[in-house]
Amino acid sequence: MKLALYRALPMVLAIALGSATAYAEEFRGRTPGEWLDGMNVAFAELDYDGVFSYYTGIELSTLRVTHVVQDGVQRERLVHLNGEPREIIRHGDEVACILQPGDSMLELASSIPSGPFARAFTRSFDEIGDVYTMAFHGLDRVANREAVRLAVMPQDGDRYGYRLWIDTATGLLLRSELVDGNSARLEIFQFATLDVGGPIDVAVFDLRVGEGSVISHLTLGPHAQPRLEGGEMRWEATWLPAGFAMASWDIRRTPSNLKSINTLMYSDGLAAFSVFIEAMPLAGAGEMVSRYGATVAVTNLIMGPDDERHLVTVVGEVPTETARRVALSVRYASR
Amino acid sequence: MSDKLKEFLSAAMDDEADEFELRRLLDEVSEDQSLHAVWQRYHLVRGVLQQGRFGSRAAPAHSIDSLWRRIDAGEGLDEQVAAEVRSAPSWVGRMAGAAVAATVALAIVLGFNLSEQDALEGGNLLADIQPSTLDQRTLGADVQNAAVRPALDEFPSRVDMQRMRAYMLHHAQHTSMYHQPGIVPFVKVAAFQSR
Repeated sequence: MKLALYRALPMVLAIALGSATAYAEEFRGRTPGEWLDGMNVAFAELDYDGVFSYYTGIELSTLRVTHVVQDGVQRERLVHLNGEPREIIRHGDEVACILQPGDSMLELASSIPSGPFARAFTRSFDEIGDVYTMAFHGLDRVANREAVRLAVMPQDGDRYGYRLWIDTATGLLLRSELVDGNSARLEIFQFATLDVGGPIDVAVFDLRVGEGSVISHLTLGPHAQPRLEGGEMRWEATWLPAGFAMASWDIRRTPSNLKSINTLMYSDGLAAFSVFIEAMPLAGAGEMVSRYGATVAVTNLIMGPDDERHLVTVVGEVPTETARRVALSVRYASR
Repeated sequence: MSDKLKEFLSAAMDDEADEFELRRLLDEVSEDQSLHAVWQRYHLVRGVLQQGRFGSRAAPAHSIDSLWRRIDAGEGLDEQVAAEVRSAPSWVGRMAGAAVAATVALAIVLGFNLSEQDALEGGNLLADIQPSTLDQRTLGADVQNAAVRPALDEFPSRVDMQRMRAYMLHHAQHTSMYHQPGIVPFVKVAAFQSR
């Protein structure tokens, strides 16, 4: 009798929890982690052409994306459909940004350190199971396509959750929502139309620059660029949310005044935050919190080497309290 | 608080203080509670002015561009701010002069730690104040009486907001380049700079 009750318990639970567990561990023979991995592969390997919107919690952008794999190399074009013409054309790791004069990305492009920031985040989604719980939530329809709904919910309050709608036919992500602990949606990404596998004219990937536009070139990926000579990262966050690990670090010396900015990046496999540390001898700035949609920035002044004041800034898609705790924990390891 | 210090404080608010004055002021502010309160009120007023008077102004192009270069420049940034203040029309008073510079900060503001409601109330609070008809002292007094809430006290300076915004952009760009899948963060970078 007792044994029978134990055996019946999972089923009772499943019924009690409703549709959330109705799909149990697998949907159409694949686990949630396999669906996520499949999503990444689909984005990289399929040919597709679609229009999507991206809502940051403050602004709504609408873009067209065209992607093909030609001779084993990815070609991709992202075009802003509203506002000033801006677009990104990618050929493998080479990226050309067609921008407006004065866009901040122009300035940033030259300062991007491509070496140290290796692709550290590409860990398997199966490994995020320690800090996120994944569950299927039935079927839905997005961009007139059948989608399986997948919830990736955090097991603690130190990170946000995701709701994903994945195309059952191709594995492409059709819609995603970033949600906080109160289930409020912080960001929404959604395709309005999507054509997969149809013929695509590769002429769209040719670089065409309109009058008044400017081009900025970037290289993605682990291309050699030496770290700062003698550079050694002595700063560290002494408190991290569970599952977060340092993904990369960088010391950048700015060309104009040789001031160095230390950058640390941490990730739990899905969420990421950056920690910036710079000397701030004259600062009036102190603790400050700023938020743009799901992105929060928290600052804190601390004493660094030689009793010099340093400004710590934590930026990431994490709850404010998490960013604040990290910012307060940053220390300089003297030796 | 001495008149001299008040003068320093005004100059600092208008970004006209020199480095020596600024150092002294920072030392004094950190030690003197009443001076600290005045400092905070002035910052509040500046924030309110920029919101109430200049809130509808579009982002000046020069505030968006060359962010990183300006942050690199460090103190050079302050000089640039000061230059903008000084070039304001002569009818603009000292506080309003600071507000002109602060509109640039407004363009950069990514959203404070205020709820929407707070922001609205802050706007109303300022809408009643006409910067050109009030001198600095009465403005400060009005704001003092208006039950300032803690969230508004520490209004970030333009430089602070610029730095914050640049770091946000850097973070978005780094994650866009090294995070998978690439499509969503890429859009975010674009969204940041299109504002």
